[in-house]
Amino acid sequence: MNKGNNAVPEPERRAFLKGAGLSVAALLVGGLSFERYVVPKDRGIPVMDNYPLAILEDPQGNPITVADVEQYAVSSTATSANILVFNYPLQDEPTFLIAIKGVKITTPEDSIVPTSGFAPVSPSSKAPMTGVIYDPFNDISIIALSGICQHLGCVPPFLDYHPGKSIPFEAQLVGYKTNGTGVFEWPTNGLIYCKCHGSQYNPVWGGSNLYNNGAAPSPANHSLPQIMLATNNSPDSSLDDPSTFTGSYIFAYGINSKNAVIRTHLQYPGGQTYGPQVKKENLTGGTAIPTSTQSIPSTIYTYKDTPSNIETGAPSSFDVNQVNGSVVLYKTVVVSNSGPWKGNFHRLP
Amino acid sequence: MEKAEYEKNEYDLTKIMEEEKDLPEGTYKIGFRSVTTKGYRIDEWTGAWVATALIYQIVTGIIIFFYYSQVDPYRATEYIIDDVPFGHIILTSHLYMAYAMIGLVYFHMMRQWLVGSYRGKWRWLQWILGVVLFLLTILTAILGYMLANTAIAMAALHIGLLFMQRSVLGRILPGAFINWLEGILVGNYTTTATFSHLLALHVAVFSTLMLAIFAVHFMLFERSGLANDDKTEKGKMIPWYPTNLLYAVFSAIIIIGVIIIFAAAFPQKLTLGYGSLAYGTFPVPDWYITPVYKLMDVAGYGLSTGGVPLIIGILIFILIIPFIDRYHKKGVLERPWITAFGVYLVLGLAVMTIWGYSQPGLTQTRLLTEYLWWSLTLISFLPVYAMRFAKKDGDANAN
Repeated sequence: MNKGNNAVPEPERRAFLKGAGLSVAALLVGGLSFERYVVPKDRGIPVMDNYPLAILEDPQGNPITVADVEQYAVSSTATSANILVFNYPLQDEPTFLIAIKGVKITTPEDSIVPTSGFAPVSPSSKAPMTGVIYDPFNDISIIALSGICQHLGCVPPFLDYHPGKSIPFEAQLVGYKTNGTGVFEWPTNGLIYCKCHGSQYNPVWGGSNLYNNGAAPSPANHSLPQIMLATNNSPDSSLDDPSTFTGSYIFAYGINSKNAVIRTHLQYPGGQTYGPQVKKENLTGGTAIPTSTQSIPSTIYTYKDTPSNIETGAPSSFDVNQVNGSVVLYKTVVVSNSGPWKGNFHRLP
Repeated sequence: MEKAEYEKNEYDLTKIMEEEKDLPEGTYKIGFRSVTTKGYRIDEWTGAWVATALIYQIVTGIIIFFYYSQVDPYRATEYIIDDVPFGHIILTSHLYMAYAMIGLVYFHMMRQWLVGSYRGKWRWLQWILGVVLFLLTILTAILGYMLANTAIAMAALHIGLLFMQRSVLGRILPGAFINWLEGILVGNYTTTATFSHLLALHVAVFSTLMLAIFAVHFMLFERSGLANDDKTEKGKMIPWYPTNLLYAVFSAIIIIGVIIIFAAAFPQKLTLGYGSLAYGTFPVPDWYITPVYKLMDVAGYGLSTGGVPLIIGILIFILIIPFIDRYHKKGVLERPWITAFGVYLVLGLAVMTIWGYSQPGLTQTRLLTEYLWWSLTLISFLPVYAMRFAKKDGDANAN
């Protein structure tokens, strides 16, 4: 070892090693305290206290009506569907708006998940699911489901609703057949299918994950969260006539925690939260949707599966975001892949 | 007459390239080594090609950086393509050179693997730094791919964040660690914060780290010399200047030329922007991501639970291969199981790339996956041991 004049004498080398060790230890301790400076202060802090009451608008800024959405209603024979998406509860959190003709969407029960075969059980005698707009005059259900896949967070157009007669190519590869032809037939009203890894959700079952009931296992761990919708006129024909109902505006007022574990937000560690923490968890780390200049409706109506079907009341009686004790009306824009609402949910027009 | 205080100026610039002889004692020398004619074999230059790609990426990256904006990244990318002079060809060649760089890194790595040049005085360290550079290359590429804010890029970002949260990283390590990592990656997750962070990581942090580690990697190479070169052949050494320099420059020009030709012939098409809706469209991830992805998928036990530890395991295995390889002789057939495993990795990578690229979103059955891995094992191990047997037999007969 110690050859030549430049060799470091043994004691000095030991001192050097000590110094180096101390430096590394100091760096480690310093690095730990450094964490708080790197992580932004607004990480993990909710941008609002509760789910916003938001009016659905078109890209031109006009409130959309039930009749507007019903134009996009798909029946079981549809070969394609327009994608309708709005941001809720925060910006950049896409939510599907799906109108299905000839179906009354009711709260799914364990008993209606089939153990064999694949046909959805018709729950015609039940009341519509909480937060679903059901038009009894035209027999159309309008449901809003989170557009963030519960597997790994893929969003539209990767996650996409394919109605009865349009099986996506990827779903055909895993074994889905057109309905009426085999065990793993594409359901009558189609599925929401994620092309990233094949997660399957049934909109007619309120966005329920198929788990192992499909042609291939659905890798998602949860069902799609359902965003609850309300109208400013009643679907009860004894209160309002049909054209008044179909002309009413649509409001999103929260997420149905009953049927789905909510984890729409992706950025906070330990992202899967259950129960009352869901709200705060869900409203962190993003940007609030803008507030609306429309007047707040005096009464909103929504279906409630128990006990008396329709729940009605002033917006303040619903569990929505309030600032200084009064309800604030937010707005969210519905965009589509074609037609007059063509747009981009990330970069609004 | 007073004695001059200054050395005389030397205006003959060619003398810069002369060897410095009488350096004072204690001087640290970083040399450019001369080699024999063996050093000019094409497989000895795989590292130079990767270095070429790195330098080209830095130069074109700086040009693109002038026009990029993290406020509206997709529009900024469209602007670079449509409005910046030569923007389309520069952006496309930046993309293609990234592809080339990743391919060349694999080539460079597998060449050293098969030749076994990761053992020797400083070579083990050079190998480890090389693996770190490989990781940095892939990560920088993925960051760059996210910067355009396409739908597929944001899917990658979301999936990456979820992997951090749900895999061993997020589940075993304390929550604050992942929060810290995510804070570095996306800030508070608004669009501008996200892209400012991704941009800073891509253009400053990762690329600087890569350049710095590359400098050490290269310096270690110049210290050790070529793995299979005979260093004692007096009179047969070819001076570094100008032969080696010119060889490096010419091979660099050829690679850059090929990439520019490809960039001009096949200009990059920007895929669907994040947030835009299209019925039935399905952009596919870049080819260098799909094998990792497919591998994680076919590992079983889910992408994050089984896949992330598998990838970490493979990386650790590659990292410590200099210490696992206990064979005494050099040569491909003298180290049979290392060679066979190298072939296995190459084949696996190729199969995973093609499979992942053609069917990115499909989960496979366990049985198919088992068939695949066992046949790959057979294909890679059997010929190597058979050839080794044949060679021994031939040598025995010759004697």
